Amino acid sequence: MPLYRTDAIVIRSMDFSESDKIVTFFTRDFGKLRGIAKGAKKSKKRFSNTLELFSYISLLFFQKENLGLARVNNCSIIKAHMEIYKDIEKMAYGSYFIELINELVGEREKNNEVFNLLVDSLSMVNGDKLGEEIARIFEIRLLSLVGYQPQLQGCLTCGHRLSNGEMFWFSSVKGGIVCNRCSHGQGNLSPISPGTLKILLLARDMDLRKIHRLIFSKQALMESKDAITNFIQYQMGKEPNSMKFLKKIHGLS
Amino acid sequence: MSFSCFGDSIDRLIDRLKKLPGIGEKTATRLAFYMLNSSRKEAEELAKSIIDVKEKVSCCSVCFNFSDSDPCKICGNERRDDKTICVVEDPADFLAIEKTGKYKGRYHVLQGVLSPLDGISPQEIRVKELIERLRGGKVKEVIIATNPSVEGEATAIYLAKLIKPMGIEVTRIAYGIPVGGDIEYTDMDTLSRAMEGRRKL
Ligand SMILES: [Zn+2]
Ligand SMILES: [Zn+2]
Repeated sequence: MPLYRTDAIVIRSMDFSESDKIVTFFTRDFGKLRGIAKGAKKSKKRFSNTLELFSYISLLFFQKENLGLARVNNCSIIKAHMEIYKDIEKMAYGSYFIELINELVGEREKNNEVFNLLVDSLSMVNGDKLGEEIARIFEIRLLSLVGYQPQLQGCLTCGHRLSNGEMFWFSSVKGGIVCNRCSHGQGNLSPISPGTLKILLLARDMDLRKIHRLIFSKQALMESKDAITNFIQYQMGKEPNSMKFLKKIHGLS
Repeated sequence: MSFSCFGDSIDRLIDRLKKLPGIGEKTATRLAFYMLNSSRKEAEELAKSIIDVKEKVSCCSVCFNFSDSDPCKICGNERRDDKTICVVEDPADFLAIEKTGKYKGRYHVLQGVLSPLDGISPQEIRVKELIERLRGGKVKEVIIATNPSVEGEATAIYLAKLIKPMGIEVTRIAYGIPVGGDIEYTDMDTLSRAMEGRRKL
């Protein structure tokens, strides 16, 4: 059985038996992959805390040719993201990113840029950037990386381009914006101002290493959530669990 | 259903057993054959004990542990120490700690841990009920004995943030248990030491 090494993020960790765990990884070189870690619940030395949700690790695994369950051989931690589970809100945002990747990226579909996006987003959540901002950045970038990029530069119906001060409307059904004139008679539209569209385009196109500097206004956060978060749910056909979780804890405080 | 070499009733039993946690096709088949070979009395007793737990066991309205009385034996025992409550995820973890015989206080069973991925928020587990219990003023220390997983840690820290402002000491059991380990499967010695070596949160 050949042995492989790759960078990975733990996106699910489940008890399998009294001593083993089944872990789902999102890896840099092999996309999403599932593996079994024998003795993970008993041996302190071999896996220490590397197989916990959100851990960014260097993974060594065996793989049979039939692409069944990989066999985790060894892991070493690159970054543990310890701050994430000290705060359930941070944990909810981290979980949201993982859920979206689970839904929108296929099994064994390698995507280096999605991997980098997840690593950097978890790192931002682990730091002190506002969770809602990171979520909007993650959403718009992920959508364009996996081929669901919404049209944000001009009206989908008449081609009217973004210009000063004019409001547009976002349509989840159409996957983009329509101008005021073309919006008549269409249902399920949410208003989106040119300022919000501009910052969404920046969030989508800016160098990932500089993205932490991007600041959303309150209005931009709200409008882009109404547009993009709903667009994703429309694509998925359901509301992600972590989104429901966030709503509930925000309702509590 | 994969084969039908044994007849419908065996296949049905195997299918039922396969639904149990941790049981695959092979184990289910082995269990089914075991039951087939066992005496009628043994089979009836197994069936009866399953029905019994469904009929007689419910949930203690104080600590939310499984119990066939309400309040349960521990909540109803006046010799247990009212000043400490040990918070666990589920009845299996309660049982593991109780078996050490070292702990004399009360329990609170959360019936789960916080998990955004599974949509389990504080409303889905017995957090509100725990806070209500603490308002009585008798409790001086809450020992949080959730598992050392990410979800268990997050739940512990979440509870500590809620409870500490009430002026109650919150401690977390020390882990000789490996991170990612499981209370239920930890040996009694390690678990006793973990209870004794608890740290402040
Ligand atoms: Zn138009
Ligand atoms: Zn009770």
